[in-house]
Amino acid sequence: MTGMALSLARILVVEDDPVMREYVVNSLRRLGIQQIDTATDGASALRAMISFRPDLVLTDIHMQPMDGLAFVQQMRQHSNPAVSAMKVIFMSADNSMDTLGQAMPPGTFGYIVKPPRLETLKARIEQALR
Amino acid sequence: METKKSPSMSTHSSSGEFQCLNAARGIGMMGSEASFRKILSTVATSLSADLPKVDQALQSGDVATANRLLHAFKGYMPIIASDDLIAQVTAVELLSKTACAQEVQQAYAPLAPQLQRLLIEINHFLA
Repeated sequence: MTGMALSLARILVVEDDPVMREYVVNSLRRLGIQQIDTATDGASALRAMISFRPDLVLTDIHMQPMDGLAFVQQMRQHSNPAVSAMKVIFMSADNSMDTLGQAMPPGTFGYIVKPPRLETLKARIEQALR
Repeated sequence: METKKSPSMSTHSSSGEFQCLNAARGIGMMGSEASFRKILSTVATSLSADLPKVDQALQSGDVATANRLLHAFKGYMPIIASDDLIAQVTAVELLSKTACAQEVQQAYAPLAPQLQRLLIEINHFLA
C-alpha cells in the first residue's frame, strides 16, 4: 500500500443498526484503525464530518430519516471542500448494486456487502486511501 | 467463512446444543469470544425490541416497516446465525420488498419461532 497507513486513518462509520455498527467498528479495530467515529443517520453524519474530519466515510444505504444516498448527495453540495470531496464506501445488506441505482455516485470507492469480511474491508479501505 | 474455535467455547459450539446460533462462526468473524459476547448482547437487545415490531407491522399491513426490520436482520444474521436461518431470513426479506402484507405474514410465520429460538439460544450462551 502506498497511501495512508491504516493505523493513521480516521474513519467515520454511518450505520443506523447497532449490531452492524458494532461489527464494523470491531472490524476496523482489528485492522489497526483506532480513530473511528460513528453516526446513526445522514444528518448526524454531516455534523460529524465537520467535527471529526475523517479521511474516509463508510456509510449504510438504508437509514432513516436521511438515507446514505441523500447523505452523500448533501455532502457533495457542502460549502466546505474537505467535506464535499470526501471519499465514501457504501455498505448494504443487499448483495447487488441495484440498491444504488444505475450509477455509483461520484467519489464513491466501492460497495461492500454487509457484513463485510475483514479482508474485503481492508482491501476497500486501502484502495480508497491510496 | 472463518471458523476459529476457542477452547472456552467447546460446550457452546457443538451443533447439538444450538440450532439457530452459530457461535464458532461468530467468534471467527468478531476475532474473539469476548467481542462475540459483546455483540450478542447488542443483538439480544435489538432482537427483543424488533421481533414484536415485525409482528405488529405485518398485522397492520405496514410492509415497509417490516421490510426495514427484516433488512437489518438480514445484515447481521451472517455474523451469528446458522446457514439455514440466514437463508430463511434472506428469503422473507426479499419477499417483503415486493409482496403484500398477507403474503409476507404467511412467509414470516415459520420464521418467527426460529428467531425467538435464536434469542433464547443467545441468552443461554450469554448466561
